[in-house]
Amino acid sequence: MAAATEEHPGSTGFVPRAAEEVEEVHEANEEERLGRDDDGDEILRFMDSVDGHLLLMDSLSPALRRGWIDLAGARHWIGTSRVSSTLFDHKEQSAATKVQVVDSADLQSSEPNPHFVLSKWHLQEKSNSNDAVSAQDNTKPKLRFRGSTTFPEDGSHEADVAPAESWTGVDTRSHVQRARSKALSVFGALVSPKLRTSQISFETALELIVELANSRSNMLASFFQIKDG
Amino acid sequence: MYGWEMLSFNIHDGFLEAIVRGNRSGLLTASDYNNLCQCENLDDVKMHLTATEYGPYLQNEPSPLHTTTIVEKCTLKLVDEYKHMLCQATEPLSTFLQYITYGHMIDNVVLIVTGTLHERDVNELLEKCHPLGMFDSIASLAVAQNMRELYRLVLVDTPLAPYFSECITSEDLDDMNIEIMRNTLYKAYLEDFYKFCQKLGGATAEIMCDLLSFEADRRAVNITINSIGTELTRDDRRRLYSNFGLLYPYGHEELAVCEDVDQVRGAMEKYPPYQSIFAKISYGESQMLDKAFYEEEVRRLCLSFEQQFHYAVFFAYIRLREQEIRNLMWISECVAQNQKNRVHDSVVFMF
Repeated sequence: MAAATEEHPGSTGFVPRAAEEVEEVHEANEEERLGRDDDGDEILRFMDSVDGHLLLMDSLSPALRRGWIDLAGARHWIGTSRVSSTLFDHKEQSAATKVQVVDSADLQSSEPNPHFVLSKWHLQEKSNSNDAVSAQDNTKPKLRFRGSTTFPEDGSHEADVAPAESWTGVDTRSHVQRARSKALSVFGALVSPKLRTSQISFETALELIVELANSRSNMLASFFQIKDG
Repeated sequence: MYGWEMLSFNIHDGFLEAIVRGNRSGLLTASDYNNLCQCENLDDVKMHLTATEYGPYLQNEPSPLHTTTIVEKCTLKLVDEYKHMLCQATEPLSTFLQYITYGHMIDNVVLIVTGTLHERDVNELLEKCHPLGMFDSIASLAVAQNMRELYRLVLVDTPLAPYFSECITSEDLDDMNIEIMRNTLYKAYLEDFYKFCQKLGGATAEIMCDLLSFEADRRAVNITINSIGTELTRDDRRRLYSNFGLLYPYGHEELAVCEDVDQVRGAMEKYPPYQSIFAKISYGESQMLDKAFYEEEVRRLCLSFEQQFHYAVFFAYIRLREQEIRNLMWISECVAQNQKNRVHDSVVFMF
């Protein structure tokens, strides 16, 4: 009897139960499908972050090699006594370039991974209010499209500097140039162009290192998410 | 011959000229450089150098070697040879040999003053000084607060004293003032050396005036290129150029207003001896300019050995040894950094 009533589609008492079961099955299937989709997205994100990390590692080595050989060229041209660690300034002074670690506790996001922010040549001190927002935006890893390089290979930085809202591009460039000259002035006021080139190469390398740290942080976050899921 | 040097040169200076010509044959050859350029690490470089005249200075150095160690030991050899010649020289050769070291003395003074400004330990700075430029009271430089004190307390008793008249001020020593002091001293030294060589006359005057003129012109180009984009004004730049040389005075007027490397090229290409130098580098580039200048300098220094009975061979030998040490430094750096493809960027072959 029960079986007969269950099979009869017109019966009001039994169609909802069958429909519920069907709906439950459908919902279960949908959840499973969504779960697989989420897992798939996470895996894709993880692989994408690994790919980005490897590309950054590949970019770091040439930048450092350029910097070291240009430094050797500067020593060759103006003399080993003029370009030497003996001339580094031991006076107390504030750092022109800083790396800020943005902890997960500071962010509204639930992501556990820390984020690193590079402030070059005192520039981002003028735009500190944007740091937390930009850090928050950057913690959730996004899918990256291959071909969009993070930094140009020739070491030009003017486009990468994040100026304060009130600064023009010209102000920023002249400030950066003055800051760079001041940093090199430990070796003398008139230094070889090779020393300046070396400075820019090392600056590029520093940016890449910070980007590598962020990339590794994102990579580990994706990995743990996949592992827990 | 210019001034009958053949009759009297060998009486006082013949032995030392023979010594320096013998030392010249000990300079590294192209075959030595080829072997060094193929080294895999600094121990290989040391092994190859042990078979040369640098052997006694490097053979006891422990591994791992550093490039600065190689440069220091090779420099010691140069210093020993120089002192050997100086102790046997009579006037005016002894004064001539001392003039060769005043450039290093100026560099050492600036090193001590700059390091003291940066609160570095004096002993650490003294270790980095060039041995050819040392003098007795050099450590006392650390107590001076301005150029007037520098002169009054220390430099008044040194050979650099006459060169200070143009830069004695009571201004505190900062990076720009120190740089101006360096270049002003060097300008005064070059002009004094030039006048001394002119007084000697003969082949010495002819060859040395050519070499010193080239040095003055090269310094003018370096000052111009290095000061592009800095706070050094055009007038200050103009004041740092020497008052002799092929570029004096009209070339200096053009260089003083140059704002980039291409303008420097435009000013220099009007002088045929420098056209060939700038023909080797492409527009907008200054990276290979140093090698082009070094090659021209080596060419002129090697030519000085073609004549006899003059003092320029001593100057040329010291400069060629210094170039050789620079070559060894560059090769060592390329080997140490595993960038041997860049080794021919700066090595200058001699003879």
